[in-house]
Amino acid sequence: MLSVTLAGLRAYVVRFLLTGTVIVLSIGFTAGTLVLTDSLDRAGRAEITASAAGTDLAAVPPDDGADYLPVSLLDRISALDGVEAAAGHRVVHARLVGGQGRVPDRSPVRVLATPRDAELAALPLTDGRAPAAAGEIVLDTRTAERQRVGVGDAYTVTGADGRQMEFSVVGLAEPSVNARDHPEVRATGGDVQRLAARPGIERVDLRLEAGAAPADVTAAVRELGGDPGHVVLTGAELRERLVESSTSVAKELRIPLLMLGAVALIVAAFVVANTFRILVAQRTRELALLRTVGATRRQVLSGVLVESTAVGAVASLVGVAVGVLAAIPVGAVVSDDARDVPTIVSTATVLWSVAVGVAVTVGSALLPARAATRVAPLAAVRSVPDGADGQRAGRVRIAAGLVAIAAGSAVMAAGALTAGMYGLGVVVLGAAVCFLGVLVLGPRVVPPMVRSLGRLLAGRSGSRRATTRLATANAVRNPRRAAATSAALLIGVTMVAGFVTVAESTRASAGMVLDQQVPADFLVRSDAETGVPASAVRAVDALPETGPSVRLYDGTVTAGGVGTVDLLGIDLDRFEAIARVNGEGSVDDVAAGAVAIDRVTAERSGLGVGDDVTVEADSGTRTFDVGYVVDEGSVPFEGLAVTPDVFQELLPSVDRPARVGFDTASDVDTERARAAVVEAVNGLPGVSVTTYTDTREQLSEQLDQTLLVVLSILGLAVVIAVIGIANTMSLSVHERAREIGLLRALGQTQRQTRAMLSIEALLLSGVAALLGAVIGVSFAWAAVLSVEDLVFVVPWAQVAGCGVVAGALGLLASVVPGRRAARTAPVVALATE
Amino acid sequence: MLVGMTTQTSTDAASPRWDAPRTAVRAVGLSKVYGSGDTAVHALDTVDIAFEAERFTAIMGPSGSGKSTLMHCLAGLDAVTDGQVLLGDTDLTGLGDTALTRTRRDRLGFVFQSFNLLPTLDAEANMLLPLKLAGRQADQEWFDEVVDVLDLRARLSHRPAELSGGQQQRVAVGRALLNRPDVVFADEPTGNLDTRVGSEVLSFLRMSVRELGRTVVMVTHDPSAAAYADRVVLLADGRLAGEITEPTADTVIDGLRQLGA
Ligand SMILES: Nc1ncnc2c1ncn2[C@@H]1O[C@H](COP(=O)(O)OP(=O)(O)OP(=O)(O)O)[C@@H](O)[C@H]1O
Ligand SMILES: [Mg+2]
Repeated sequence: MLSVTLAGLRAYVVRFLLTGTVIVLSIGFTAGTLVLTDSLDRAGRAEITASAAGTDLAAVPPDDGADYLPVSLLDRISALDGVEAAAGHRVVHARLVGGQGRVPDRSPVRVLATPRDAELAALPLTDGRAPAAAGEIVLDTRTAERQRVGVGDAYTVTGADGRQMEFSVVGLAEPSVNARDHPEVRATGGDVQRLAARPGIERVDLRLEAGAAPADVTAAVRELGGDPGHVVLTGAELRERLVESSTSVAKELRIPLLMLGAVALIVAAFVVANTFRILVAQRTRELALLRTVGATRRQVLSGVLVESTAVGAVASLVGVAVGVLAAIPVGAVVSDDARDVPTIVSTATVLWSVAVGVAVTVGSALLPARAATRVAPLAAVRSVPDGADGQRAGRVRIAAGLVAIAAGSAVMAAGALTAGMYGLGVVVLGAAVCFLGVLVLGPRVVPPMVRSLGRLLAGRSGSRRATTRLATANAVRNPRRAAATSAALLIGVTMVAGFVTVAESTRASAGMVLDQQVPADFLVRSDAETGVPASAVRAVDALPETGPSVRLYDGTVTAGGVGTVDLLGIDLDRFEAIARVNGEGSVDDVAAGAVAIDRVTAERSGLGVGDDVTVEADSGTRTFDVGYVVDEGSVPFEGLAVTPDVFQELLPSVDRPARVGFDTASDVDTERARAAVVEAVNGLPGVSVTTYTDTREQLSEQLDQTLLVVLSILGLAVVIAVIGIANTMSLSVHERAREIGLLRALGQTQRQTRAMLSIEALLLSGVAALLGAVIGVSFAWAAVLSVEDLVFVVPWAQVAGCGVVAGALGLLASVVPGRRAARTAPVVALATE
Repeated sequence: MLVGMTTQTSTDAASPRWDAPRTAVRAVGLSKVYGSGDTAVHALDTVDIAFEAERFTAIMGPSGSGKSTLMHCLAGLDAVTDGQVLLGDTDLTGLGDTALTRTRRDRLGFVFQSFNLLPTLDAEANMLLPLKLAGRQADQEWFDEVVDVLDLRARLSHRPAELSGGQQQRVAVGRALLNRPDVVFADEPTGNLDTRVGSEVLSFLRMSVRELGRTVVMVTHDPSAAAYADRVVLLADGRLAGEITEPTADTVIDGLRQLGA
């Protein structure tokens, strides 16, 4: 039997090539991820170890650093015999203070105590020198570049209690492994203690004098005791502990990457299963003949399994090689170039990858193989080998699919209504169940959709109609094959559409949150209670780089039926140009002297558009119409809003706006505008400029980057699916050679043959694209609902774009099979087997 | 062997009809070689033959004598090694693939021995296929007539898998006639049919020649099938080996026996 199998394998080797490619790609990605993360992890470990390379002994708080050690311990340890040098470690988080023209970064700044002893400090300096005195710092190179700060510049941060400290940058160093994306400042120990909410050190590292006995010093350090006491570690123990507690990017990347790799593998599994199903269908006669001549079911089954194992093993090994080769350049890009990343190909990586690859291939071949064993000897004499398996989706299948969809939807709905991360998890679970249902129903759902789409494409009359009808009939002749072929693409498109929608929703929501905080590109605000002086407003307004401005006055009044509320004075007419106003009523009425009220306050006090409200302020009591109810989330206020003029009448004592927002004039670079605004208010006491375009752009950029990474990985899944379509098409061209020959004999031109196959592929990929876009967006909707503060935004253009790309890729997949089909000679139809 | 007869064109042959017969399709010095070198098979060896319009011609000969090959070459289904095939005034051997395909679609009809129909289309769609491929509408009256004569009315919406062999063959005959082709080629159209259905199909082919003015060229092994034809052409070893006009089953059997002798 084995020799029969191997002969079969050789004959089908070309057809297995595409199947193999699919496994190579998905296993390549998985293996690449493992190699990459292993390598980065190793590099990280090396760096952490290096950072404590000079440490002979270390004192740490008991209970794994639950508390700090007293600062005084450092001096006492330094004074011990046999101690050459000692250094206290401490990290505090501070906030950056926006200086002139500098954007305050929202992420906290890590401030690290730098040991005075160079060996213990192991500072990876690239420029300047280590901090030697109070007020001196070394900044990490990444931040220096990002915030355009260099040696000699000032750098101001606020500590826990709001105390500002102005530092001067004396050197630049590479960021530490634990820096992540935060700015990192290395200051002297004293400065770090001054910024800390609670003084104390995390650990004391010490270096022994030459000839000192470690045991003696350990005992001496231990004896220093005191409350809460401390634990003494050897240098090696410390390094091990540091490595364990570090949170490296590699470790965090690993799981999400492997999950995306799993998507590619699932898609590959579909393609493999489909290929084997077709091959088995094509070899039905051969297998039936084997059965008639006496091959047992078991022999037929093991034959197919041997084939799949061979394909899986070879493809997985090639995949591992491809993964390793791809991981090397990626590793160099991901890690900062200065760092040398070794390429770690562990035995585990190879074994796991090959095991998973073989398991997926064999597993996917198992179902068709079981079908193969059921081939009745009678099939050998069946007259019409048309590739239709004749099996319709059974009742059980339909019931199972519907139940899965219903249950999944219910779980998703429950998740969507549950707030927090928990809800999101529930939604993902529900979505998975629901999607499974869709896949199960595929053979029932896909053919009707293909037929409808086919009717749509067919047009009224002419030869195109005939070609399209032929293509449609071909696409759905085997419902399971059609479903499996489009399912592979469906998975990819669903994921892409879902991710794009969630990302756009996040972007829009973040934009709205920022809009609420700062309804303009720049906000000129006063540090003092007195408000922004008119001179500052005039100066900025006069700049050609700035566009419309909005004055915002803050005050408090008492309103009838509402109580004490904030009163916002705002240029409503111009406000519209800057921030969106959504709600009920007329903004014009407010401009004409009515009040606006936010939805929450309105509902609390039972006020609506057209009602009267009495406002009591310093200047007396006045009654207003409610002209507008502002929906939640569109205007940055809670309470009442009036025009600045009305505000002045009500609260004449508040004569200056608290904030003035400016937009960048059209066609002006934000960077230039910022410089101009900063220049204009420079020297005015107590006036600061905040920009939020940067924050918004930064956020947008981060989102784009994440999306790009996710999409390129999902792109792999889509490519695999498209290879699957090409595979199905070419197998079916082979299978239908006689039929195509007949069509050619009857007058189908080569062009029409190619068109027929293109339309066939387009129908399958088009259905996957349509269905995927709808399902992806729906899943995203549930996901967005489950996360508080997120608004649902559908990026129609992008979703449509991904649908079009999927369809186009489907078309592309038909090119080679189409050419081959067109070359079919009419006589093929006449050849008897 | 009656090799001398191969140079004779059918226009010179005695015609039972009063008008001068027109040539529908003609082969001039037609050769077809499969393979090359030692393994080369000369399936057709410089064959010159003409088929008159509005006549029913049968091609006969021993197995492997080149009947199917001749038909495929005449019908533009296969490339020739040497010589010319003239359909009316058109030299098929000089046409590119698209022009040749259009010629098959618009001017020729086919009935094959087996696998005539597309499994995905029902009987009606199969019959209309060449017309649809050309983007043309069927002449409803003509369609109805063909369907009724072939007794296929009740089977129009059936797929080939749901039709008997004879019904499938009749659908193929209907298809071959629907676009009013210049020539209908049929390769053993009754090979799979029982005598009764076989004779129905043959009667229909003859009727379409006599009454509808079609031209039919048919390959067959069956002398009684050949008896439906106006003329029988005999092939042996890729060469013309004689012909019989106004054949009966007996004269055909005689002719074949002479070939074997
Ligand atoms: N594709 C091919 N490749 C090689 N040789 C071929 C091919 N097709 C036919 N032949 C050879 O050409 C010769 C004529 O074949 P053809 O099919 O025309 O015979 P036939 O008269 O139709 O026979 P039958 O009555 O058995 O159908 C035979 O010797 C056959 O072996
Ligand atoms: Mg033959």
